[in-house]
Formats: sequence, structure tokens, C-alpha cells
Amino acid sequence: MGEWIRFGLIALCVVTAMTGFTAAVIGANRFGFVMNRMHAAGIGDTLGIFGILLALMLKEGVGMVTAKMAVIIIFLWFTSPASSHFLSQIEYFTNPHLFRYTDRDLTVRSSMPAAGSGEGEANSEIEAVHSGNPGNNAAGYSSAKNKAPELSQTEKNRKEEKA
Amino acid sequence: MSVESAYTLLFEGALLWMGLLLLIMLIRAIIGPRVTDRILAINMIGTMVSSCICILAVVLEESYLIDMALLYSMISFVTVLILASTYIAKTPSRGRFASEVAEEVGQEKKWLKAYQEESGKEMP
Amino acid sequence: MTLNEFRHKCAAWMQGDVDVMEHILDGSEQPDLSREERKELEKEQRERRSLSQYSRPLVRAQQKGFYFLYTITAITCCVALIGVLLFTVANLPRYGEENPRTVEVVERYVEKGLEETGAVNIVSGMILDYRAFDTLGESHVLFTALICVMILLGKDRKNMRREYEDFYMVSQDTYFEISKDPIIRCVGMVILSGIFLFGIYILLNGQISPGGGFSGGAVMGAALILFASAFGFEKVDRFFTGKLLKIISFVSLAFYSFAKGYVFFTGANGLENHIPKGIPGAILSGGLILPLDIAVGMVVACTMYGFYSLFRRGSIGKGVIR
Repeated sequence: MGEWIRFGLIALCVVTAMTGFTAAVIGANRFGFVMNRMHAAGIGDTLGIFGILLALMLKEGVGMVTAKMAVIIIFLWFTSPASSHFLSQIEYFTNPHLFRYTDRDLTVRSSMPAAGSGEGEANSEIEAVHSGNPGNNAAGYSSAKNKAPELSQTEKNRKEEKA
Repeated sequence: MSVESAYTLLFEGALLWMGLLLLIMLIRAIIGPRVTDRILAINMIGTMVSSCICILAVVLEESYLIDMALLYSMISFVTVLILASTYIAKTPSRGRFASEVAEEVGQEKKWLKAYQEESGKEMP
Repeated sequence: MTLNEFRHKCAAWMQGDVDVMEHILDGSEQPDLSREERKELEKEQRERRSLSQYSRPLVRAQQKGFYFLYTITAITCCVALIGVLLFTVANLPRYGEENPRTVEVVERYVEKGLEETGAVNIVSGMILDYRAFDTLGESHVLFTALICVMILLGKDRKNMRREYEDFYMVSQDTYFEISKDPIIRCVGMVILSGIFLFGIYILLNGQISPGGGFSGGAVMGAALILFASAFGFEKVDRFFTGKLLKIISFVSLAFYSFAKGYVFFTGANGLENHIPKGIPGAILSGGLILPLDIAVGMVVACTMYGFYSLFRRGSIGKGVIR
């Protein structure tokens, strides 16, 4: 009977892990943008591998193999968020159309120091000081502000096309 | 039905299901519109393959396969890291927020075009 | 004028301060060159002119049908090679048929491998004992590839020019370095020592478990690359310079060549009288296999890090390759 209880626990772990992997794969194929897909893949990287390796550890019992599996879990839990971070950095630094997918204000604010949460003029000043190049950045920021209505119009158009 | 056959059924079912998931993930790796999609898919495939190797190590009772699983996950992490550093460093935006730079370059082009139309001279 | 300066000027022009097209459109585009720079420019132009003179015989040769002959020769060579290869393939034994030679070799390896080489892992015994000559060639191929990349991508005095310096700064991550990121530093601090130890473990267990020189060296090289990415190349230069890389590669390859050369010279019987086989399964077993594994691993690790460093910044270690 004890054997069967252990089998039930292991089966529960495996089913959980499979659910996690399935959710990750579905999310990675269905979501529309890389950042969202990254979120889905993170679930597979953490929950999936944890469930599988927990099941295998329960199956094996105490020993060298279990210790190595624990090392794998720790390693993946360290590295998976880090690799997600680097992926998002690639996207952030190389995608010129990032603002189409995200909130424009959010992205502008995240490229500035944390104190920049005031009004528009204060923001532009902080940004100018931060990058040490006043004329250029002020111009860039103001142009972004002027551009904002156009962008929202294009987004509306796209939504209409989709509908 | 004994416990052993139940374990075999469970683990083989898990392996088969994961093989299916790997194939579906490969679709994303092929059609992914951007580089990051592909890297993400490859990273995900690496994770799933290393868990497959762990299952195989227990099912076949070959403990050395665990080392291979650890190595596989390690290599996939190093891959993502190196691709990130190299790819960011080689982009023309030079480590700045890419859409800002694109905006500026687009502005320059617009100004240059306007200047050309006004003055009638050739572009540099 | 670089792109960055141009961008700044554009921004300033929009504010109404500067005319961007001042020097560009009226043809006076080098306003403040010093005398030496102008001399250099003239020298370059002269060299370019003389180069075009040297290339005139080649043009004449082209007109006389050199390229026609070249094409005919290339096609003939290709067809001859294809014919030879197809003939060889046609004479191979069919798939599924029993081929006495290969079966003999496989049986010999499986039955007497442990006894003759002393390695539990039969693959390691095969590639480092029976077929050590093959592995010697492979490690030399890696070394040769490193040398070629060094020749092509290495920065030295001749292929660095002042006007390309900006380009080099871009390609050297001066504008963005991932090692400035705190997250990668923390992750590196935690996992780097583990990866190094794991590589050494794989390297030393080559004759017992799967792994050995190539995979262990690859893990160690990956750890070095991770170190360089996490903490910057300067930190790696403290303990792993270009000179050390050359010394390690040379010593490993020379050791491998001399040891295996001696073995082949004495009739490929191994060094059984000088190095004991040891107990199968222990770390110090397998005779020459462990030192050869270490040599191969060192070469592989050096090659991997050398590739990365050369592709990223054009040199291994500090400064410019002389």
C-alpha cells in the first residue's frame, strides 16, 4: 500500500510538471509578443523542471543521483530568470518597434532614473541631466510626445483590421 | 497491475507527451519573427530535453546521464548569455533604447528630405 | 564625421543653432586636417593609384581567356572527384550485409577493450588508445583553426587605422557591456565555481564515465567565456593571458605528440611496461589515457576561449597582438 501512495505522489508531481510544460508551450505559441512568450516559458522552466525532478527524486530515494538532481533544480532556478532577463534585454535594445506593443509612457519612464515620476517637463529635464546631452534628448522626448496621437491612431486602425 | 509497470507507463507517457511538446515548440523556433523568439524556443527545448534525459536516467538506471542533463542546461544558459552580449553589442543602436534611436534616425531622414526638397541639391 | 556627431548636429540644427549641411554640400568636407593627416591621405591615394597599375597584367590575362581556362579546369576537377567518390560508394558493402572486417574490429574492441586499455568507458579507450592518431589530428585541427582566426581577426598595427577606431570601439562593447549588469554578476558568482569544478570532474573521469577531454574542455571553456561575460575581460586577463594560452596549447600538443609518437614508434603496443594500467574503475587507471585526456581538454578549453575573445575584441589577453 505504501508503494502505491508513493506512486500517487510521483504521479501527481509528473502531472503537475506536464501541466506546466503544456501551459508553457501553448503560451509560447499563442501569445503575440516576445515578452509575453517569455512569461509563459518561465513557467515551464521553473514549475515543469521542479515537478519532474521532484518526482524522480521521490522515486530514487536518498543517494548521489538525488543530490545531482537537486543541483540541477538549483542551477535552473538560478539561470532561468537570468536568461529571461537577457532575452528581454536583447528585445529592449534591438527592437525599434517595441513601443508599438507596449505602453509608450511606461517604456519612456523605464529608460530614466527611478525618481522620474513627475510631469512632462520635469521628466525631460531629468533625462537630459542623466544622459549628459541636453539638446538631443530634449528634442527626442518632445518629438515622442508629438508623435503619440499618431501612434494611437495607427493602433486603432490595426485593431479595426483585426476585427 | 504491479507498481513497476505503473511506473513504466507513467514515465513513458510523460516522455511521449514531452516529445509532442518539443515538436510544437520547434514550430515557434522556425516561424519566430524575431531572434528573441528563436532563442526563447531553443532555451525552452533545452530545458525539456534535460528533463527528458533525467527521466531516461531513472528509467534506464544509468546514473551518468544526470551529468549530461546538467551539462545540457549549463550549455543552454551560456548560449543565451553569449548571444545576448554579442547581439546587443553588434547592433547599430549601440546599447541605447532601440526605438528612441530609430525615432531619431527617422527624424534625421525626414529633415534631410525636407532640406533636399527645399534646396534642390543632392543628398550627401 | 561619425553618425553620432551627425545626430547631435541634427538635433542642434532643429533648435536653430547650427547649419548641418555647412561643410557637406559645398564640397569642402575636410576643414581642419593637420599637415600630417593630409600627408597620410595623399600617401594613401598614391598607393591606390599604384595598385591599379599593378593590376593591369591581370586584366590583360582576363582578356586572353584566363577565366575560361580556370572554369574548365575547375569543372574537370570536380567531375573527376565526383566520379572517384561515386566509384568508391558503389563498391561499399550493402547496408545490412555482414562485412567481416568491421565486425571483427567491433568484436575486438568490445571483448578486449577493457583488458588492453584499462578504461571502463570503452569509447574513451577507443579514441585515446586504439585511434589516438585520429584524436591527435582533431586537436591539431582545433589549434590550426585558432591560429587562422588569430591571423584573420587579430588586431595588430597593420589592420588598425585611426579612421576605423570608432568602429572598433563599437565592436568592442565600449558602448554597452553586459558585465555592467548586476544580475549577471550575482549569477556568475554563484554558479561559476560549480561549472569549473564540474568541468574538471568530467575531464578527470574520462576513462570511467562518459565525457573526457572534449566535453570537459568544452565545459571549462564555457566557464571561461561566462567569466569573461560576467566580470569583463579585464578580470580574465589577470590569470589567463594570451601568453599562457600559447604555452598551454603548445605544451599539451607537444606532450600528446611525443607520447603517442613513442607508442607508435615502438609498434603501437602501448606503454604497458612504463605506466601501470591500475585497477579498472579507479581514477588513476588506464595508463596514458588520463594524461592524454587532460591534454586534449586543455587544448579545447583554450580554443573555445580564444575564439570568443578574438571574435569579441580582436585579441587574447591585454593589448594588441604583435
